[in-house]
Amino acid sequence: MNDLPSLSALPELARCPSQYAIDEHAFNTAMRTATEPRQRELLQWLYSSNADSYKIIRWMQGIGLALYRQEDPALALISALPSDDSLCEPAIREVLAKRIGEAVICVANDESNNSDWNRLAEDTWIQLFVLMRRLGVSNFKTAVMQLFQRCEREGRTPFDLVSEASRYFTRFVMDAQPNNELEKRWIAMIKGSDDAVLKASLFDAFCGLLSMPREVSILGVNECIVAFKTRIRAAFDDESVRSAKQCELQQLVDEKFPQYADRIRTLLLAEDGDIGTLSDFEQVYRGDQAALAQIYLQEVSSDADKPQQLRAKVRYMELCPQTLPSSVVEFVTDENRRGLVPGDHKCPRESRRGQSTRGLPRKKVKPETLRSYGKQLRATTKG
Amino acid sequence: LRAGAFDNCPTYLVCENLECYDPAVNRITATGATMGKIFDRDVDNRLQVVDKHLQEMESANPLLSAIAENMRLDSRVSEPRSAKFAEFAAASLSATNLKNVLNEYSSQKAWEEFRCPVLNQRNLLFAPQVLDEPKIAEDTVLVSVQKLFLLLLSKLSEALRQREIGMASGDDIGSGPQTIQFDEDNSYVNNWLNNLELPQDLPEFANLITQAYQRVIDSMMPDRANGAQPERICWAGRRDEFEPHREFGLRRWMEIFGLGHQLDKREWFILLEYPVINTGAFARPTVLDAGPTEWHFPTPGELPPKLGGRTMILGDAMLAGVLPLGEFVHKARRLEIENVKWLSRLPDDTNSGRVNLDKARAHHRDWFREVKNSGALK
Repeated sequence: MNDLPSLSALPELARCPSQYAIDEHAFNTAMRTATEPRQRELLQWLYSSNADSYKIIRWMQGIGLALYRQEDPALALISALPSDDSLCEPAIREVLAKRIGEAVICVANDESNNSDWNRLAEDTWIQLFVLMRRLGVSNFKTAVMQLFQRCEREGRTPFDLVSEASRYFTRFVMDAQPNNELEKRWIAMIKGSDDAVLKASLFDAFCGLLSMPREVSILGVNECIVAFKTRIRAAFDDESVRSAKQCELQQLVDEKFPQYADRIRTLLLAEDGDIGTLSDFEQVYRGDQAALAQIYLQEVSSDADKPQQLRAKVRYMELCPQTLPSSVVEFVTDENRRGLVPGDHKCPRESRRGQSTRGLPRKKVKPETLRSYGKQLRATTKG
Repeated sequence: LRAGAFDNCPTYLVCENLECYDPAVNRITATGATMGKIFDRDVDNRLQVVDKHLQEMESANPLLSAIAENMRLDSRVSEPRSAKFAEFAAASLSATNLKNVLNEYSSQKAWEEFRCPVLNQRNLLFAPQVLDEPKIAEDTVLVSVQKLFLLLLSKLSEALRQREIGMASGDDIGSGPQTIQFDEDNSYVNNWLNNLELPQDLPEFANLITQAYQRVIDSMMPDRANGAQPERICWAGRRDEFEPHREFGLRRWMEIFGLGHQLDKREWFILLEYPVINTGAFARPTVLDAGPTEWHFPTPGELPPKLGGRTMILGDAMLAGVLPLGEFVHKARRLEIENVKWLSRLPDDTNSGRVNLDKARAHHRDWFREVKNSGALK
């Protein structure tokens, strides 16, 4: 009985003939320990050379897969895989993932009127997404992007945009995005704009941005930090909640995107006017000297005090000596440089400790110079 | 078993009045097989192909054998419903096995057929639109132990998000690392559930889970329309029978309601209570409603339907002599906050794991045969 082929009970032509199958060795090895009917059924399907990958969609609908009461199809199928310590498990898992990918691509590319793209219930999508997530998102990048492209063509998702399925899908897109094409979309979502296809909270949109394969420009990141602060300020009246959200963002970046951790920390501080040293600030801009030079140049022509202007000019000259305006050169004598720019790039904040800004006593003095940098930066990025 | 209990309540098996019901009468005495029958009836032409598959299942392994036994014994399945199943099976068995056929039948047909007076007349207990008189008191309070399945967890997460967004002046801010992990293993919602302190947090949980439950029912509409995924069927017991076990907690609840396939899982369950009148339609289950599960065991069809099916008692509850409880089916329904009574999950360190299926089935089989042979049914 167990060894009967178990195709869907609803006979139909194969909608998505698979190109993949497990080999005989893996099949035989796994069958030796497969005691439950659904384990054997899964193995037989994966071993079959002319199998219909679309069957996985039906299984996720609860059709053709024997389920216990209240059992979720995705979890049932995962439980039917050989145990992790089985030697054939990776090969079986790989073929299962490939077949799921084939089925998703099939759904994405079926343009017929009665295609499942329009018909699958949210539950089925969630089961499918959970299954894909458990098998590793990296296996489904092509499939996810084809689904995304279909959504883009249609201008909508096949599930309710407010549902969790949309958030699952957005997470998949984040992980599957092959280039930085979505940068403007993520930034727009961070700023609070709605998207027709992607659904992300402020935090999720940050993840989308920072997940892009190529590094995001510092100006782009800073633009988002400004938007983050603005939205947090608008959303929460309680200062402690705002602070907590800022800490959560930093924690998120530290854990998930460590390559951005330092610069986001500094940008968050700079936005508060709470940056400690010039070197912190420059550390952030290390990868984008043009942006840094632009800020220094603006500082030179600002109404900041003379020493501050001079420091900016020195920095600018160090960064872009070949483009140094002649008006700058006259300020930069060796004597001035030695006197005004210590080797460790420390801000002269110690001498200002205890002064108040904005008329309120503060724990730490906020160097005017750096607050000015923050303002300049905002002006630059907004432009 | 309480000595003499049967004698003290001789009307139990024929009396429609539950006051007479005393589960202690169920003594294990008799044996007897029903081989060669399907739904406790002789195999007719229409079911011959099913019989052939059942014979193969009986010789395959204990799990398939258990499912075959259920199909052979269950006399609660009416003639018309048996004919419908035979028709469905005949169309499908050339391409698949009987276990799949039964699974598909129970998942695609049961939600509609259990409340059909033509197909399920004897088992149907409450259906205001089709039954003149309910066969069970409408104010009978039911209990149901239901898993927080994926879609429900997802909807609970939606409800949580909506609440957070509301707290953030309507802006979808989200939160840090926890949110990001949600879609991988539900850790966001699991974390929230873990941090609830019952009973003081029960109203908050009940409020959100009822919203989530409604969203589940609403979200099923598209597939219901194209027939791919029917309504969900819920299983429930009677509160008066459940009450002595309430204090023992989730593991006991799962044992007395026969949820053997869940005992090795660490998933969240909710305890619900609601009256029969809120169910819309309510019936004694059959093997066609239960589907291909070895954790179900038929009940003698001669028992008064209002007693329901009788659950297969498992594990420690079986060893403690707990006798089968009533079980019923009804379609998924809207929850009210006051219906939600508890939330629980088996602790990681509990000595649960799967119980011995063979022992549980043997124990229940003996109970079944005793009831059949007690004479009181005649």
